[in-house]
Amino acid sequence: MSESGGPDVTQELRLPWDDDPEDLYEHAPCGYLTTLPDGTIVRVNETFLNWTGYSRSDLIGLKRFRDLLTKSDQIYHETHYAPLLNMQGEVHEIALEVVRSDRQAVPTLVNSVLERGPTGVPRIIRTMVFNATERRSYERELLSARRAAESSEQRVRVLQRIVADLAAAPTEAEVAEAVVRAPEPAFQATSSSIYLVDTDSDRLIAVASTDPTTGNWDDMPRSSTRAVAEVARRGDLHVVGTVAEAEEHFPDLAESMRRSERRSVVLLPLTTGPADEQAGMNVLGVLAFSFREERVLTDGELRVIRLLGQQAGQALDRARLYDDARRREERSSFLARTTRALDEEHRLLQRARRLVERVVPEIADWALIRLQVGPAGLVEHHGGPAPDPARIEQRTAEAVETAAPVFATDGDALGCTVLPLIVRGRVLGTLAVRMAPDRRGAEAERLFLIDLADRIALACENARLYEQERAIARTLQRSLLAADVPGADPRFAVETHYQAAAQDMEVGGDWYDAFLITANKLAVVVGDVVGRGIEAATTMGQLRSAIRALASAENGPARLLEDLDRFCDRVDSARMATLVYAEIDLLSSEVSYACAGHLPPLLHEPAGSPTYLLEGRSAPIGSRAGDRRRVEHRMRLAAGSRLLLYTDGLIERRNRPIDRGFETLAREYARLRDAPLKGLTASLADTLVGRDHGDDVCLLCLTLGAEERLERSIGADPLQIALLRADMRGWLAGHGVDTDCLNAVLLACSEAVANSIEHGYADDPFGVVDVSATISAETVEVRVTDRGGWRGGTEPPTDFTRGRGLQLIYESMDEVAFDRGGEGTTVTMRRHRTTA
Amino acid sequence: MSDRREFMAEPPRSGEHGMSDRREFMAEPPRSGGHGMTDEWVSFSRRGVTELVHLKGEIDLANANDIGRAVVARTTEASAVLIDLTAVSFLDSAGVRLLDFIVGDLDDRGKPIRLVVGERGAARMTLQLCAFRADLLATDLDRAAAELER
Repeated sequence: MSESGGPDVTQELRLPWDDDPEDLYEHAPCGYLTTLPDGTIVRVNETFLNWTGYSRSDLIGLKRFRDLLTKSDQIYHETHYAPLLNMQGEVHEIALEVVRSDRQAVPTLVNSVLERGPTGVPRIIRTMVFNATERRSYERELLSARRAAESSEQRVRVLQRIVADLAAAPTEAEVAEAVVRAPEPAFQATSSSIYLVDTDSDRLIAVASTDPTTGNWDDMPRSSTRAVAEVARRGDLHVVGTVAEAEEHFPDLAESMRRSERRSVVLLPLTTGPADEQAGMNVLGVLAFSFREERVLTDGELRVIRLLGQQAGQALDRARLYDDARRREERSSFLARTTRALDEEHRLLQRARRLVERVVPEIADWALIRLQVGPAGLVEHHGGPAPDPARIEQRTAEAVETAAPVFATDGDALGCTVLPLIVRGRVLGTLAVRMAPDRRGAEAERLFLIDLADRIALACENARLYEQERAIARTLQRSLLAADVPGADPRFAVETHYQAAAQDMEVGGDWYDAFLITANKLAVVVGDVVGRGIEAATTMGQLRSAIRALASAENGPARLLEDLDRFCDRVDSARMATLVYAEIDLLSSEVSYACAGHLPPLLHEPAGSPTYLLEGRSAPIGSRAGDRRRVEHRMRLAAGSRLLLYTDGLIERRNRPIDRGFETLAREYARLRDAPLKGLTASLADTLVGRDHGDDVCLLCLTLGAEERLERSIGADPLQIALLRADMRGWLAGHGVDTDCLNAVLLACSEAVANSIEHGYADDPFGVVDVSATISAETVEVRVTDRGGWRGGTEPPTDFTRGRGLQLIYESMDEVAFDRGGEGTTVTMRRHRTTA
Repeated sequence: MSDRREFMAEPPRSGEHGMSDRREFMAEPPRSGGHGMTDEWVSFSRRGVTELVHLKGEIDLANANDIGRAVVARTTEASAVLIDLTAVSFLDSAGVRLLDFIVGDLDDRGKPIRLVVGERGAARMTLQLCAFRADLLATDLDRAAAELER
């Protein structure tokens, strides 16, 4: 074996491929090592020595193979390589790094074979070493390429998620929140902040930050020299790689970078419109993010950052449009709801009240409306605390004088907007509101307030006119209804009642009337004119006069209605009025009636239950569609009959069918059969309608003739005695009882009832006294019954005062009998009629 | 009906009646605003030293107390009293009690009083049935007034 390494010239010549084995060993394209089983190198080829820079003498007998490996590979050699070789006799393509003489590690692939002696004892190890430097660098590139791809993929994923978030964010605030979260996962930024442009105030508003303690995080005018404002104006991406760079261009940024220990900052404008054309571009905000280390951004990252700016800009733009649309919708819905709410109130004071209650708290925390009506004016306010009175007075005066709104401004100590309420060029009053600061200033908000003031002014003016008209209509109607109803005729009695709708309703067109056509013919009418207010009241007056003029002894109800139809051709407002008209012949007790689209009269004859009179029906007055063939119905009424005419307010309720209304009226009417006529209509209205009703009610009750038998029940109330007396007086007169007898019976009856109330029901305010009276040619008999427990005597008179009452009974009647049973007391009194 | 309720007096309670006339009419002064309350039934005028009391309408249990207070307030110091009942359309025992009290008061003070009633009518009937002294009753207001002035 030659140690020189040169060709052995002593050898015979060979073919070029007929390698000298020695040379082949020494210069093979791979390293060869022969080691003892313990790894000690005993032979090594030239190739290996060339690679590693060692000389043969450095290695042979001195180093083990593992001594040539890096620290970590030495461990690997001990734990994997050696045991594998021992077990399997060979190992293949183990990657190990060999440390060269100059300490550089050379990546290699190693194959080894363990040779054993005849007894199987390990003899030597042959190791082949391939240089793997090339292969390793390729792998490394592959790895870094994969890492780059992965980080780009992660960035894309983060951005995709952000874009999705942006698309889902409905408001500007939510968009800002999504955008400000992007730079940390996407670019490993340390923190980021977002500023949005507010065009109304011409400022950049700091809306969100992942770390508000860093930087100079507050609002600024758009004209500020600060870096953020500068970028917003320029509209292009600024990457400030170092503090030194910042120092050069943006001193404020350098200062805050130093303070918050940032080395690089990115200022990204959030834009809409074409990115490449500066002109069409609109900057909606700026995203600022920063890094603790000096960060160099690759072209790919910069592209993505720009993309983020555009995506965020578009999302902001969309959200602003949404926000605008929503606010517009809120405002217009508020206006609509307010207008509707005001429409429900007709009266001025109530409207003003309702108004301030709507404005607070929905749009303001304090509101005051002031109207220049009446001598004192009208003021309604709601919410609080009230602002300084002197200041608000001053601002109000300004708004009235200039007839223009005075808006609250930022830094305004009062914080109230005062709007003049103008109708037809006249300032009717003012509305003062204090709104939340974020609602001040915006142009849209101002337009909204002006719109609101316009509507309020109109609503208040209408209410004012309404009040005026209402007062006139009320007066007119009162004067027409107050006209005298005929009375003091024993053949009939009329009781009327008018109840105006609950206080806030307009005057209606309901009316009643009763008049004598001739000495023996009575006319009664109840009607209802279409509409409300002064026109209805006027029309009612005209119809009432027309009926009085048209009624004649010859015509009768049907003719009268025909005449009224013609009347409508001249007075159109009377069209579609409904009425029931009846003429009563006081000699024959014959009634003839006609109903022009009106509710049927209700008749109660002395025997039987109440019945509705459903004959004689035709269409409302002047109706074009209805049946205008006017008909009337004639019938004879029993003496003592009660006929009730009424308007729909008595029975119509929104929440119940009209059938039920008819039933209820008939039932109540029957129940009050024994009540005195006086007060009957008021009592019916009270029971059926109550105090809080939405419609006018008109009633007229006519009693005809004297019933054979008078039956009345009254409450244990001294006031009721006079009502009873009125009925009894009419009844006695109707039967032709002479005055002396009449006065005597009235006195005795009154005293008997007073006795029952004072003694029978001394402790029972709900007691009832029944009175019945019968008459024959010779006598009048009155029976007074109570169910109370009497105290004190009846006979002889011991009690001085009541005794005088009893004495009067005995003196004025011919026969008196007291029957005191367990259930109460009945006094039966009889008096002979002096002349038959 | 409700406006009439305003004029309603406390209903007298049983057991007090016999001795209570004076208390009922005298104990309380006319209630504040009381003058208006009974205007429907009472008005006053003067003729010389005579206090003229004009009653009208129906006088009964429901209004007699209030009317009584109003009248007594005017007559309690009067030297002569003339009560005109010609326009009274009904008079019951509560009204009689009121008149009885006023007559008693003036008699006690030795002052003259006359009640003017029509030839016929409810008031005359009631007073006659209660057997009021004939010297108290007159039919002609002017003549009665002239008599009182003497």
